[in-house]
Amino acid sequence: MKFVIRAFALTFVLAGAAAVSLSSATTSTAANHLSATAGLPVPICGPNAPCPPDPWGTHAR
Amino acid sequence: MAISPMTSQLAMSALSVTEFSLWALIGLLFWNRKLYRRFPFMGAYLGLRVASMPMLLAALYMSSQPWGHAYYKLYFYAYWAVYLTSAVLLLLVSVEIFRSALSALPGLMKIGIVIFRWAILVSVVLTFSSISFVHHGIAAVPDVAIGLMRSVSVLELCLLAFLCLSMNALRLSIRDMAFGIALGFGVMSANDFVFAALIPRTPSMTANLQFIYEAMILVSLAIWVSYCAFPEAARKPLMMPANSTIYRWNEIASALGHTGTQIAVQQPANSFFLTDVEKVVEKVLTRNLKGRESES
Repeated sequence: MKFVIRAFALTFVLAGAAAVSLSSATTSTAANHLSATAGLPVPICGPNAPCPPDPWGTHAR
Repeated sequence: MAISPMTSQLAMSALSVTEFSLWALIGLLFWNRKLYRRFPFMGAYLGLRVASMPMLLAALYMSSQPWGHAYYKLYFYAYWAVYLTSAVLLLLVSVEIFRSALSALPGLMKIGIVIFRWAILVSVVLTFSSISFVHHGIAAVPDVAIGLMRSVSVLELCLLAFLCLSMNALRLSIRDMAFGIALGFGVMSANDFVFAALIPRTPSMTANLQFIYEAMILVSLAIWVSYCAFPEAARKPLMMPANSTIYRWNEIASALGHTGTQIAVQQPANSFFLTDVEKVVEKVLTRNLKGRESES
């Protein structure tokens, strides 16, 4: 049981580490689920912050 | 069989509601079992998570009304304030987990915490140095917040890896709450990174990926629920051979941290030999002078 849980945890560590290098250029607009604001729309543009050009067409504002 | 967008949206909403309910349940279990005494920052994080969601949803709802455009500003500031607070709390939670995992070896814990804090500082400095500040002033807050959270996520993964690899040496049980919290955060962080890496590469799969993403979040929350709901294994006194490496390292670390009695460390002489000779001659002359005076 201990071995299985450790293997499960290490799989996520390896997958996360591999994805970090891939996602480095794309996370600038991605929300992080560890934040208490997860699930809510990200207000990228706001007071004194014009909306950036949207290559994916995902920004509501 | 194709799923209609309406059904898909409904399913997504159901998953989101389930997620919030699980967060509330974890908060309740955490409170009931008085785990906030052992992990105060984790308690604060759960409290922030449960309390901020309804408030932010209310601000978002008001900003979407024809009369509520001013509330968007409120939503913007509240959103990033909560985001930054979460990141800072998570850094403190990492230290809490690390401390709890090493609590059986007080010497190593003391020195480990110092090193761990340095690792956090280096990680944060490296993150800030690599952020490309597109905006200036208050508009730079999102850049900083996202950069900091990314750094925290990497740290959570590293912490989980450390616990997995040193579990036997630390005699840490798999049912220990510290490991449970680290496992939940590790799964969430890995999920975030994988999702962020896959979404731009597979735009046609976005809807399916979102379901998998949300399902993995529910898995990590279920891990926490099980750790909070089931009793933790009682911590037995640590038994290890006197010649074991980790025991010796603990002894060395304990000795390093001891203040004990203070000793004077001899400073290197900053005077010349001739100056010393001068002083000796002066002493002899004074003594001779006093001797003559007493004779006369």
